[in-house]
Amino acid sequence: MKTWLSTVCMVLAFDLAGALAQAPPASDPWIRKSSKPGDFRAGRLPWNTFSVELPEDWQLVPGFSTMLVTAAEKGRNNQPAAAIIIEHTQNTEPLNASDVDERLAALEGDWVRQRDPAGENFEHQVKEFEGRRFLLVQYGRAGFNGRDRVVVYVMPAGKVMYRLICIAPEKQMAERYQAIFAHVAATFKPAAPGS
Amino acid sequence: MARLVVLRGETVDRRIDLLRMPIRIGRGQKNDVVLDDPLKGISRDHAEIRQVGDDYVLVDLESENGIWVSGRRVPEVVLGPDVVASIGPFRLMIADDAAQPVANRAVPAAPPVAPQPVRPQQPHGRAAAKTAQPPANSQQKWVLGGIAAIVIAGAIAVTFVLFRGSESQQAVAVVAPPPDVKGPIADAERQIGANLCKEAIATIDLALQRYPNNVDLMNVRQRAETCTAAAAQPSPPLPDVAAELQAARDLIGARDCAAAMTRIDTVLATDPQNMDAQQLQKQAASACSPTGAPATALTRKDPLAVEIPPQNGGLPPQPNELDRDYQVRVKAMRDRYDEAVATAAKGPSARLIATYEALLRDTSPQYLDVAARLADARRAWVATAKLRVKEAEDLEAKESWNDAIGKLNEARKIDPSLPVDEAVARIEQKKIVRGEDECRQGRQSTNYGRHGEAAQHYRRALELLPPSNPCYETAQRYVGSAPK
Repeated sequence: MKTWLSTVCMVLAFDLAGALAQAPPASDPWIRKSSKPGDFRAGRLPWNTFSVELPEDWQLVPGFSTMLVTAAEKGRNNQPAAAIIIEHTQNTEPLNASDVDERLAALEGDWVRQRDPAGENFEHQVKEFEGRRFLLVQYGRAGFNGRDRVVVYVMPAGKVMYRLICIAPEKQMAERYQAIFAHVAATFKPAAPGS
Repeated sequence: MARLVVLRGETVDRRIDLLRMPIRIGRGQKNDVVLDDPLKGISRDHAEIRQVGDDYVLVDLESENGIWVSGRRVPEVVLGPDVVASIGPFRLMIADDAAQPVANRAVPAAPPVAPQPVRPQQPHGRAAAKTAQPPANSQQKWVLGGIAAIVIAGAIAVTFVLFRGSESQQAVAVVAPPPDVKGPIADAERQIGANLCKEAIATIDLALQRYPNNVDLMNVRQRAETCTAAAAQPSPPLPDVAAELQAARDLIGARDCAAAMTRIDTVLATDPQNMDAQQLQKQAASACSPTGAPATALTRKDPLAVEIPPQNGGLPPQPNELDRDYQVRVKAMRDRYDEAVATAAKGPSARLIATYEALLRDTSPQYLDVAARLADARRAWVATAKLRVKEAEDLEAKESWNDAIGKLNEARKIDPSLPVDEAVARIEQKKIVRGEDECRQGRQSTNYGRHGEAAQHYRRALELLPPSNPCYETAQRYVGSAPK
């Protein structure tokens, strides 16, 4: 009896070890594709310099100058909702993947702080997804209807610096909007130079 | 009767009849012949002329500057027409009364000086010559009076004949009044004296137009023509005064006073007032004969060099080297040695080694302890190479890479056998990595508008990266255009 039980335990232990070894690494909650890709569609945008998938039922508003486009959630009765603003700036010196490091993240953090001096709890990180290095800057700020959470994805691509500025009510960020922003960021792809 | 002729340069200063002996010469006023020289080339009681038989002997009275004949100082000399003795800036010679060896000189003779003391304030010039009085000797008076009478009679006769020739139509012989030709003749004389010979001829010709047959005018014209011819002849080349004097200085330095004096005399013959030459003359006199003895005698007293062994700091003497010159050389070499030893106290250096090597080259391997010192210096110098390597390691740890490489290169220069190449390559690689990092930070700062930071990073990049690095050009461009 004992022999039978120990054999079963060993088999189970091996299976568990094998299962753990084969499991995919835990993905970053701030950049990963959604399990419901049907909820998104490729943005029909007049530029060929990047591609991105945006929430299907959000409104697209064209921008001006550095602001390329705004995707805004349709709220009921103008209730507060979320928005994604895609910006671009020209780099005076081209930046490549090796330039994206902790120092650049710190510079970006300072820059964002200067843009929104009332912001609080600024954090910056260097992240990598599918071989692409990018910066993530987050902070909170007081909105008209409670606190907002701002998440900025910074993606340098040669002479251009793209910023995906994602804004949502802080209370709903984790349960509702983090996955949406993560999918949009995961699908944002700057075109190869010259295309 | 013999006559003493005193020349200053090429000019006759005075002529003195040697009527009584001895005649004392000097600067002092009590002398028979007072020679004044502001440069004190003449002693107060300089010399004396004594008669020895038919000879006139000039004797040095132990004067400071002595008597010089043909460039040599002499205690005494027999004067004669061919023997010229120099006393300071003056030259003395004896002229026979009959021969008058200097009678044809430009300056005419002064009247003989019979009474003592002789003073230089004698009448000069042609007028003085014309009015020269014979000595107070009755026989001479008669002779000269006769000659004068003959000359006057002859002049009257010549004038009469000439007058007759020009005024042949006149029936009555009239003696013409003496023409006033003194003025033109004096002018012409002055012009001849100043070598203005053509102008003198013009002056005379003008006067001759008025007095065509005036003998005095014709004589002066003839002299003026002679003067013109002489002026037309190429003059002998003038000596290069500066070169002659420099040669004299060198000769004095080499204690060849005779040759130096010859050079100085050459200059003084051309320019008797040349101050440098006069000073050199005195210098030659005192340098070669500080005790008043002849220079040649003094030179013989200087002993030849006696060799000192190199172990004692000696040098091999040169042929015929005087001991005093040898001692100077030995001391100079010893000074070099002492200087090298003093340098050694500051620590080993390439300069110290070079100094020791030069000392050995200029002396001998046995010279003092130079060879041993050189070996020590080389050993100590090689030891400093290892010290440099250690310093380079410390600098590398402090990321002062350029300084570290400098130290390694110094070490390699001191001791080429030291293996420093690997360390240099390692540090060069570190420089590239850091330089590219600085370049990246420069790029990052630029894109956020932080130009001061960017410039600093790019400047560091330029210090660290080789020009071939792709970032070097970017950094150079940015630093060149960045606001200061």
